[in-house]
Amino acid sequence: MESSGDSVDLVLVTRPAGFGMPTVCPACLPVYLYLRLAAVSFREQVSAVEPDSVDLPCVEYGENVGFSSENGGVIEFLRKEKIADLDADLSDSEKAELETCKAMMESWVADASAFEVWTRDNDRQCKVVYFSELPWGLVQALDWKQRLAVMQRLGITPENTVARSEELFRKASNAYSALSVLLSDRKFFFNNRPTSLDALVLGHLIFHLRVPFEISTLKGEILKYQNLVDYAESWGKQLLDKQAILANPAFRPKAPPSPPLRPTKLGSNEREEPAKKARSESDILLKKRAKYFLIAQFLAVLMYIFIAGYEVDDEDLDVDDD
Amino acid sequence: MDHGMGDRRGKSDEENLKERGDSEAEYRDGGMEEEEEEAVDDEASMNLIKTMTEKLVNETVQVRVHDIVIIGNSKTKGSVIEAYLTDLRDVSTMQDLLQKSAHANSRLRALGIFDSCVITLDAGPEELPGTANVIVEVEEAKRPFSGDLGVFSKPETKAWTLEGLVKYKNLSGFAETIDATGCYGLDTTSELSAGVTYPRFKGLPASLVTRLTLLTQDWKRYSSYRERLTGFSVGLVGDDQHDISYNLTWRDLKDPSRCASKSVRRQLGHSLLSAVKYTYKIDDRDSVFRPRRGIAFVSTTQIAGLGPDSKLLRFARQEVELRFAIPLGFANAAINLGVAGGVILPWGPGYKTKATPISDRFYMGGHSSLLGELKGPSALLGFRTRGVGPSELRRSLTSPTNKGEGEVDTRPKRDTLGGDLAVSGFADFSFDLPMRFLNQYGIHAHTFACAGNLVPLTGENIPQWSPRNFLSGFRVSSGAGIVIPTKLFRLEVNYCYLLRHQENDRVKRGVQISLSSPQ
Repeated sequence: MESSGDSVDLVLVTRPAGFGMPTVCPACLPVYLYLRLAAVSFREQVSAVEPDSVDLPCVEYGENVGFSSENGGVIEFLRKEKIADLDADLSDSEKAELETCKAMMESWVADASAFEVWTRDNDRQCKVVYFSELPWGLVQALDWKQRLAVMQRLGITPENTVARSEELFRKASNAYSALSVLLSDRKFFFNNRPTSLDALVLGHLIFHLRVPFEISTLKGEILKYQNLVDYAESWGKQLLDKQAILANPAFRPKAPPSPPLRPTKLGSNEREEPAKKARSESDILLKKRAKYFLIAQFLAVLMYIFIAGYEVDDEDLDVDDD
Repeated sequence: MDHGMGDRRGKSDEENLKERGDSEAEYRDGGMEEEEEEAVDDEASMNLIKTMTEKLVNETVQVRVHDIVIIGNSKTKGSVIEAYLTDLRDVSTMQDLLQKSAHANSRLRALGIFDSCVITLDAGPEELPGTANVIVEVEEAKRPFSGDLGVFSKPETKAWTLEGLVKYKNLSGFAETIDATGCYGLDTTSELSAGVTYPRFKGLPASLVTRLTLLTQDWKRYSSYRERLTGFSVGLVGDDQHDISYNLTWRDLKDPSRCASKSVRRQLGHSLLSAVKYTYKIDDRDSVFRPRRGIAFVSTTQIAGLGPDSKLLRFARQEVELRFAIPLGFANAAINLGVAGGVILPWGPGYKTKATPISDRFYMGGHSSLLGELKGPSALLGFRTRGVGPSELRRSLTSPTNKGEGEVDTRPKRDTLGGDLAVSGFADFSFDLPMRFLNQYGIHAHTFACAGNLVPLTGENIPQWSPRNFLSGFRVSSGAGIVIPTKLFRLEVNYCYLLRHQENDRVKRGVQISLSSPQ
């Protein structure tokens, strides 16, 4: 379905690749999978020097940009710009279930995942995930800084590490159990059609199954649910391998629709412009007058200081008179 | 022969000797008799001084230095003071000895660690005629602490900053200065730095300067980013012309407002700069801010990416500037001509498609004076700060912002990207005004013409550079103004007229005011 008008590149900016994945960052992988599931063609751009940025991943579409840190993130941006919306055909009850599961993924599962990635034992793999393209000195400094920030956010101190980690993994395990029941033996979570929940869950499962952490509690939990493992491995092969993507007509990438129509934007601009013009002319005149007034005052003060105020020479004359 | 040398600067040696006779002359003949013989001795010594002065003026008096004695340094290491007296050991005439003693005296006082410094020239041992002993008597400063607090203006960013400085001199006796500086400007700059300076390091005619810096610089208004620099530098600053330094800095560029253009977004993130910089400078103009004769030249070379790690920032940067001042012989008038150029290029595999770091590129525009310190190709009157050169549209915000009736969005919609190749030049004709009271305070007028251009050389989607395109893209402006130097600041009020500019330049026509440090 090609749209008329100029085609604009959709660019996905992610952290670098690793461990056989096009991007090994756990925040960027779900967005990558979302675009693959939506069969939208996009160009990949790597940002290797922002390991601590909350804005990544981000999507650039012409002059518009959707950052992960903005309301709703990249997926909401794609929906608003009418580029891709995998959740469009869901019924209300399905949407409610979707939101509940997403909340569970973004809290319980995300926290456990962050703990596992940043735990000291998995230091080597964590550096490949976040710092593969940074110089050695920066890697040490940023690694320490980010680890401290993550552990503070999770409320983990050296005294409560064991208790807190058990709690995090228990919640993640409960989440996996719920997802496994929801998925059962279907291809996707809802109506055998991909949704944003599939992108989110697949991103998490593939990441923890493929990255060879030294200590991987979450992988052990995931392996208890065979349907989740099969789901992740089969879609991982189909969506992350470029040859497989092109071979499958359902996911063959198509050009995104052209950006929002310009006339509406121009219209609002035209309405704003006459008002702005009237405002700016009077403002400019006022500013000019104010500036000249200030300059005149300033010069007057200077003239006073130099001509009327300063009389050093008179003191010497007084001394000589004695 | 006894001659005492005290706190004298810029006077001739003959005048010094005559004055010495009037005031605090010391006679170290050993076994002085007092009171009734004093009057006779005074007259005899006056005659002696007169004959000595005549001899010094008319003849070359051969003398060599036998010994140098340093008295009064309890904390300061003797080697530090001797480093400034090495020239004295090679003298062969009295005139030379007097001149070099005065020179050494002023340099020792300039260290700032002595309350007083007196160099006395005494006769050498009797068995060695034609020799002199040099006695250096110092009084170490009782208060080595000093502090400074001030409010300063930076013409480039049109911002005011509050700066505080604390110094401690001579803590370990090597005449070193330990200083800590804090600088805070509303929404623009904040800096914390500390450093140690060792003058005459290891006997070299250069000071060793080390510095640790934490600096936050806000370029949000011009290029939509804020940079934080954490760095360490060590350098040798020569007494005259040479200056070499090594700098290791961690740079973090962020855009909290999320409205940067695409090119600036590609520059955000962390980087590590490991670079060596060499500066060669000659300045024999008679004044920095109102030169009437002389030439100045500066060349700065910086190579970044030094280290085994291929992920360091890699580029080579060269900047040159040449200025002439030609006196015209009437009304203190002079013509100043200046030309400056700079180029920055990345190096390493794939350098043609790599973009240079935005923090190290060249920028042009602003209120800073055309004369003054040599700062490379940056000054171009008639344009706003960072107002010249390539620019790119910022990110368009899809949600409309609600603005009140009286508000006008004055923030520019484009990011300035800077250039990899910059060339600028100026011609300035300065002259005194006919009114005498203006001349008394140094107030003078000037007319000027300046031109400059700035282009990118490497990066994605950069057009091929050609000399013809470069020349045709030059911006030109001219104008006239008045310069008012005061004790607190130097004020320049200029009227600028633009002769040529490009479509997206941020121009500032009409009256421009610039404040800079006094001179």
